[in-house]
Amino acid sequence: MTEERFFRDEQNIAFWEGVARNELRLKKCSVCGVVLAPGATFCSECWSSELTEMKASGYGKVHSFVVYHRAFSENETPPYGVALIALEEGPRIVSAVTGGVTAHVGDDVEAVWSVAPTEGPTLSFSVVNEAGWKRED
Amino acid sequence: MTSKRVDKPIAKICGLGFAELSREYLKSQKALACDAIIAAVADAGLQKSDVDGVVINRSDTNPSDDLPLRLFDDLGFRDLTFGNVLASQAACGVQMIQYAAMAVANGMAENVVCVFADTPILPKRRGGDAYAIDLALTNIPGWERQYGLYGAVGAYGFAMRRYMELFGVGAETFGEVALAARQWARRSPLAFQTKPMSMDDYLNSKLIADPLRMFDCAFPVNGAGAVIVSAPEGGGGERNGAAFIWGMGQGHRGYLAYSDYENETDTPARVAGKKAYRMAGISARDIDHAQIYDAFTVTTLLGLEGYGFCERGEGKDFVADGALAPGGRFPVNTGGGQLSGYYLQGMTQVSEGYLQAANRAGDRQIGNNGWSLVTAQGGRMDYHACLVLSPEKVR
Ligand SMILES: [Zn+2]
Repeated sequence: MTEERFFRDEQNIAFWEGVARNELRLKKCSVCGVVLAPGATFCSECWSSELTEMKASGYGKVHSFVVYHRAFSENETPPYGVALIALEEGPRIVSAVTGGVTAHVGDDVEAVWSVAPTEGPTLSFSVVNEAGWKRED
Repeated sequence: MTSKRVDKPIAKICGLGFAELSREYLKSQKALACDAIIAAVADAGLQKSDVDGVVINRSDTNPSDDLPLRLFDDLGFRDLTFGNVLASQAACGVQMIQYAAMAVANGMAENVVCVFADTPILPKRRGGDAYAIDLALTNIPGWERQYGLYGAVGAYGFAMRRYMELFGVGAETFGEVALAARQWARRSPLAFQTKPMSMDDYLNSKLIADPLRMFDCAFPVNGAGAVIVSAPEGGGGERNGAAFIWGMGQGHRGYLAYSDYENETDTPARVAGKKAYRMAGISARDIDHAQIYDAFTVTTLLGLEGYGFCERGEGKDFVADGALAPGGRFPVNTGGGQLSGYYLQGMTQVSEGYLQAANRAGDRQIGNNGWSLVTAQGGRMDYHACLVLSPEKVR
């Protein structure tokens, strides 16, 4: 099974351009204020379509975490971890935790941007329980 | 809430048939479905001409054309008064029984055959690879694939990890669920996984998406199952026994991955159970045994909690010491479930629930056979449906 792992569609070019600048851009409802996933086109809470874009701070918590011990495609070399990260703004995204397999539910994490050899910038998160979130504001 | 306690059953299940279940590709979904329907009609003591309704539960593992209404051609049905294909995922195994029950209760049909068929195993595909679950949380195509998130094992592994860490649960709790299913499977002629399993066997089984192991996963088979649903009086089942449907419920949600929505460890099974118990005029306390959807060991635990047999997070104590196993406090998945029996999605629980409630379960028959519960679920634990059954036609 070979599937294209680094798929980019026309509709979301602006999102991927954000990623190229090391930015994860979320959507925020102008009416009820809930923060939604990057690809939201209207608000699932109040059904308003007045959404604005906002940049994720990069801080969050581990919502859950698995370590694959089996390769489901030729793109992966197990063992590798996949995490569900609850961003501090609210949305949860699928990502990875850097530095192996030691994450736990509730761990504080912060964004780490890296550049994959051919496919461009990718986002993962590092656990910062001891140090805490280091805000630069 | 407008649901009310009924003073007579809504409908009955009065016949069960299977196609050959196998670990290799023998024939198409449609051909399997036909085999199961023919067997179920015969089991109910009915003729082809008695069948006036057909509901098909199609699996998502193969293209929709594989199990179409064209099934009516093959079986030569004419003048059906009720028919449909349901495709809202695995909860449909139970949902199709509910729609059939409503149809016979309201005179739209007399004898409805409900069929599920699936071929996760294809000549070039292993069973476990058929169940891809798209966890497209960002709504940006391509995002999730970057990280190598594949299959149902990822989504359910997330649920399992979160359940373990929120409630302080170790691997042995999931082992208890797997062991109970295996012990029941050893008593079922339909079950595939019947080799004795110890806790060490469970703990040493291969990790797939840690914390999820091989023995946390359902056992995929190709095959089909069908049941006949008729009005409480009339129809089939006099010969082989009937299970009466007293309560029915569904509970659904959108999977909302933001704010404090808890998708992993708190499911709308709660909603489905409440509705069904209320309709039957009972509570979870009155249920003697249950068939709980167990595609993964964590779904048994969440099902027991969601359907009110214990509080949220207390599944660990509830399943301890072989409580679900033969001779245990609360028999669950008495045919080995999907874990050790066979995975025909919701039809696994429906078929075993029928056999128990109709006192047809042979060596594994539960003596204390009053009220029982049958559940099914689909999606990432988003869609739930259940039946409350009893061997009794009168209260
Ligand atoms: Zn809104």
